[in-house]
Amino acid sequence: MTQRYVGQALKRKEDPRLVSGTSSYVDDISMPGMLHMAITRSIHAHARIKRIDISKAQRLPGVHAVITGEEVAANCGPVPSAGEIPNMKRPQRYLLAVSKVRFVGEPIAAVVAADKYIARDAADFIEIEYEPLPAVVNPEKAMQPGSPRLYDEFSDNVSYHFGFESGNTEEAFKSANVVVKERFINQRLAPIAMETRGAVATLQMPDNELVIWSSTQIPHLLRTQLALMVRVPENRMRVIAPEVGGGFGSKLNVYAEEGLVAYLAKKTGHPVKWIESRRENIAATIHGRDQIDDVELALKKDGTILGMRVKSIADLGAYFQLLTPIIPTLTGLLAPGAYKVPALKFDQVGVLTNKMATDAYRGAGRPEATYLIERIMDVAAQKLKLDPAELRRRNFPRPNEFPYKTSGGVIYDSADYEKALDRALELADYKGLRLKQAELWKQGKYMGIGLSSYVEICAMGPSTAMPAGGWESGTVRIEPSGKVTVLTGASPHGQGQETSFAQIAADELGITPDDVVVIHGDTARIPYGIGTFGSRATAVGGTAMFLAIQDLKEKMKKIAAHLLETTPDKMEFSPGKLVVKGGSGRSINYTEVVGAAYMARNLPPGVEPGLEATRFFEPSNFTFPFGTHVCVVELDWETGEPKITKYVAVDDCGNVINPLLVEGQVHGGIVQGVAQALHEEVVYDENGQLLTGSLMDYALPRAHDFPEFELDRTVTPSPVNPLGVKGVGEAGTIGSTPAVVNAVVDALAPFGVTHIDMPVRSEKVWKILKGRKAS
Amino acid sequence: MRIEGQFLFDEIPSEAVWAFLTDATRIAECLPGCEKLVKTGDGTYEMQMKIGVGAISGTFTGGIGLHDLAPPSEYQMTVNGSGTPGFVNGEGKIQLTSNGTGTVVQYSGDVTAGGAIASLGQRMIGGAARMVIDQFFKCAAGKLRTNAG
Amino acid sequence: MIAHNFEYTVATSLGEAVNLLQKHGGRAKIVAGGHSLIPMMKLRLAAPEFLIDIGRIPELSYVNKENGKIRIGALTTHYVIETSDAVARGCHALADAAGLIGDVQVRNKGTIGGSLSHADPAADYPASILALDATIVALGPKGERQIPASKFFVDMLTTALEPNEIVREIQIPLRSGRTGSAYLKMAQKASGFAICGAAAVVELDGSGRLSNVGIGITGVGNHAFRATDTEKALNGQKPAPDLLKKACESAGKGIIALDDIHASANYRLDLARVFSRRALEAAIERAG
Repeated sequence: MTQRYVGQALKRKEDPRLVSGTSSYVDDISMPGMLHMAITRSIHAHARIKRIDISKAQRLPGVHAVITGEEVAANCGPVPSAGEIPNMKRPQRYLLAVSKVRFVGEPIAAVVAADKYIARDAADFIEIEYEPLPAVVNPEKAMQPGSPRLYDEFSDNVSYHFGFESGNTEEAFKSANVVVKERFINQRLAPIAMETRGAVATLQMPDNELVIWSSTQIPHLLRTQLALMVRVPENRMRVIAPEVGGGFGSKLNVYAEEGLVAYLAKKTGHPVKWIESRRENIAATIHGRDQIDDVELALKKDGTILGMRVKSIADLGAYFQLLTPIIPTLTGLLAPGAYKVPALKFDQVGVLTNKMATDAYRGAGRPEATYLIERIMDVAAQKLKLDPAELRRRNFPRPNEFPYKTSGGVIYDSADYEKALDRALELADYKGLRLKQAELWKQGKYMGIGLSSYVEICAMGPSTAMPAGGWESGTVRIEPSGKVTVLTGASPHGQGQETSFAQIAADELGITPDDVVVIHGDTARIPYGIGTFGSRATAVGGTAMFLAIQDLKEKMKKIAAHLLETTPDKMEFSPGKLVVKGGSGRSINYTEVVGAAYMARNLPPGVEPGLEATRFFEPSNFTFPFGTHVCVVELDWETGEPKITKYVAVDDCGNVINPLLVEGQVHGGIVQGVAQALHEEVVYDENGQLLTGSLMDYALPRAHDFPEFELDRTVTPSPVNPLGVKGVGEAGTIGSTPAVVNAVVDALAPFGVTHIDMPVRSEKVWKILKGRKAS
Repeated sequence: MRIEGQFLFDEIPSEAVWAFLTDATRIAECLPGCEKLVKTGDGTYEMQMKIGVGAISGTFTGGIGLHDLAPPSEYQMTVNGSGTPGFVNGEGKIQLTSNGTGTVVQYSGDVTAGGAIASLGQRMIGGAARMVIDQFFKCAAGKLRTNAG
Repeated sequence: MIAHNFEYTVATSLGEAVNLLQKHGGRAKIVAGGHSLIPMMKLRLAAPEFLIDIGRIPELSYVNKENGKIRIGALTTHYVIETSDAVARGCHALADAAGLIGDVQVRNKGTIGGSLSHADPAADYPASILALDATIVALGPKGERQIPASKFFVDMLTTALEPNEIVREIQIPLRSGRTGSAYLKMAQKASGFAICGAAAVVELDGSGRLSNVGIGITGVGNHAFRATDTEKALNGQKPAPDLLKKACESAGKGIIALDDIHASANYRLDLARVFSRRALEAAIERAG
């Protein structure tokens, strides 16, 4: 099939409605009699609730109901969490706190009122008497015996131990010429989707179906969990994800507030709406990262890696959200990065602290792994006095070694790491940069060049490796007119599937993307699906659709062959028609075949009428995109302020459906990853108070912080799926963070600096520069 | 957050400063926005305060406690208040030393805040605390001087 | 992010607004561009019962040059000041400051009178206002009052304005001869407010010596202040690099610096030295 649309930078079909403001998000939903929910949240990180007085709130005119923990504990199930690690302590949490609170922002009471203003006032009128308890914020302190415990029912705050060893690390370290070690901290981050969370629930006539609109990445999984939570049969519940304004993993979850809205709609008989404020979004939507990794790398003199040991502490926060304990363990799978690491020992403890739960945030486990391996590679290069590019090159598996089984226990599908590295170095003029750097150093100016040759795990994933199914559904319906409707379970939240899926379908069927409508995000319209996360939508969801299209093509070939009195194997698709191979010129119009399928007057024996197919694609493996990023920073020698002056990224995400979407993902990803390196950090004080409670203190990246990105791609198709795609939703975030920190450390290396912690605020660099001047 | 500083009560002897600083009714006279201060026990007081720093304001209820009194040179003070914007707790040591004719009051302690005050106002807490303390001492010095005169 | 209830009145003149302030006392607040007060109300940190909107009084938005002064109406937006030729020529440091406030939306709505009245310790204008020796004209029940900039910023979020006074105008004396001014800052990455901002104004006499040097620093202390020791060390001197550096060592002298999660007190004090020197260098270059 000729590719007329796949590979083209088509403008997104979604954009006209998004940029003209005619689209509908959860907050655009309004219904007669709709009530509004507001939540009273804990102002203490750790406290017993001695008394809750709701009487003042109840008396406020316009208030319909006020509920607290006892009521929901009696009537609703707990907030769900998935994943199992042997001997794990799994804290249980209800929709509202019962007797104790364990983080600032924890919901204690919910109010529903006639409008959102009354609801907010009433929430303030709820009086709570606390008995404050000592809070534990630092995971290392929380692990210690004698630390205040979050749970009376648990012997300590350590939720799990997870570890493995492959190869013989003891031997590796014994025979090493050089061992380098460093502690790397991935600070706590807030995902900050542009649209905060929100949900509306209503009982819909004629038979009281509970309909819930939620800003979610996983409508089907949410329905299953909410049905259990609020005790409604799953087939009497419908979840709709309308336009979703970003998620970054934070909406790959099932939240207490979604359950509360559903429960309160059931209880009051009114539609109930809740829209999260930005303050709530920072305090009570999942956080990401918060991991400490002590890393040791053993090498031979020539730079050959012999082994690696990682001791990891994952700060889980106070409770489990959907994937809380799973995400940090992914670090182990990817710890070897793009290198041959014959022996790996990975040990992780998951620790409970008085903070919001951590969970999946763009990259989810892979940024932590990539940061530790890409940083320790630079530490090693510094020690060995080897160029960091050269050290990387010496340890890459060669292209003919793929599929490559790593000591992390996964099988990398396909790659040519050196090709991407070489292209990035060429694009950045690496040699020229090194000369310039030496020149600037002579002038007392500090410039650094940082590399990151990342690999990551995408297309999540084989169901055996996933907590809740890793397959995806795709339904393709060719309507009688020939127009095509695609139903995908990979419900997007900004990725652009309506465009990219239409491009694939158009090429396969010989029609145009405008003939294709992609529908998603409604459990009443779409067969059960998993959702969009883990850079899986195209590789898994796109493949499910592709397979369904193949079924329909086979059927259409049979019908066409029957009508043209030939055999199906002689038929092929061409734009607008099905053609008999061999240049006879015989063909039949696409619409004619479609019509025949529906008229059903002249179908070949054994062929059913209609043109609709559903496939569930179960991937055999993950995919492993890769690439090299090069970042150049200059440091202000007086203030320490780092400024990025050049940024080059060469990414390989396999085959590309729409380069515009890929570039968009790479741009956004780089920006988010750089922001972790330089700006972002959720800060709690030692009492567990959230100090970065608004965007006045939580620093998001801004356009003027960045130079123009110089991007290129190499293309190594994935053998894991027939589209040859790998995924690109998180690559930029994963690749960029270490490149930036490596660049800053490179600039400071002449002063003996081997590491600097994120976020690299100006003051941290200033302290180093000051110290140097003093000495 | 650590808060420390000092204030000079010029030409006022430490006995007079001590008497003022450990007398609830006098404290109430000078505590900015203090609307109520009632003695509830030996050295403990219940209070209600309306604190305003510029446009930011909130009503707090809580208490003051004076303990480990060693007249006229040193005592410990605890302050706690909570209201809709959150809570503030303070604990510290106040030391009085004579500089001949006047008295130097040195204070040092920790301020902890919670709720919206902490999550939205972290950059201002230290400065605002210093401002309230300063206003208090200035007022006290003024009253003592008036008394003396 | 939902404010408490309040009553809202649109004032048609500043006099009417003063009367309303008199009537409601501490329960009322003035709003103009609304870019300081409204966010605080939505966060429920501020809860005025009455909001008096002066933002629609047309005659309070202007930049005039007359009698050796630049006069700026209280309702003039940051954007107008940023792009005003008169401001750029007469007091460049103020245009610099205006252009570094927030983002385009904030600059289009926020007003100089509102920003000064709010007196955020990290606001941009105060450094320039102090360095330029501006006068703030306030209107109160007893009529107009002129407040020199050096007396205006009293403490954190606190100005010399009486509760019933409203800023009416900002006056900046024009300097003649070889003169230049500049404002530079390091922005806090989240809010954009100044971790340290410094404004400098210089005059150069015929022999190239500095005179009437003004340096204002914001973001460092509870309120913006003048680096008087630095100014003294520079007046009457030729601006050699070593001298500038040495003089700026005392830029934050005697100041109890702010200390928060974004910057320590020591860092802020060092930035005060660096940015006052850089502002001076820029001002001297502009003086030509």
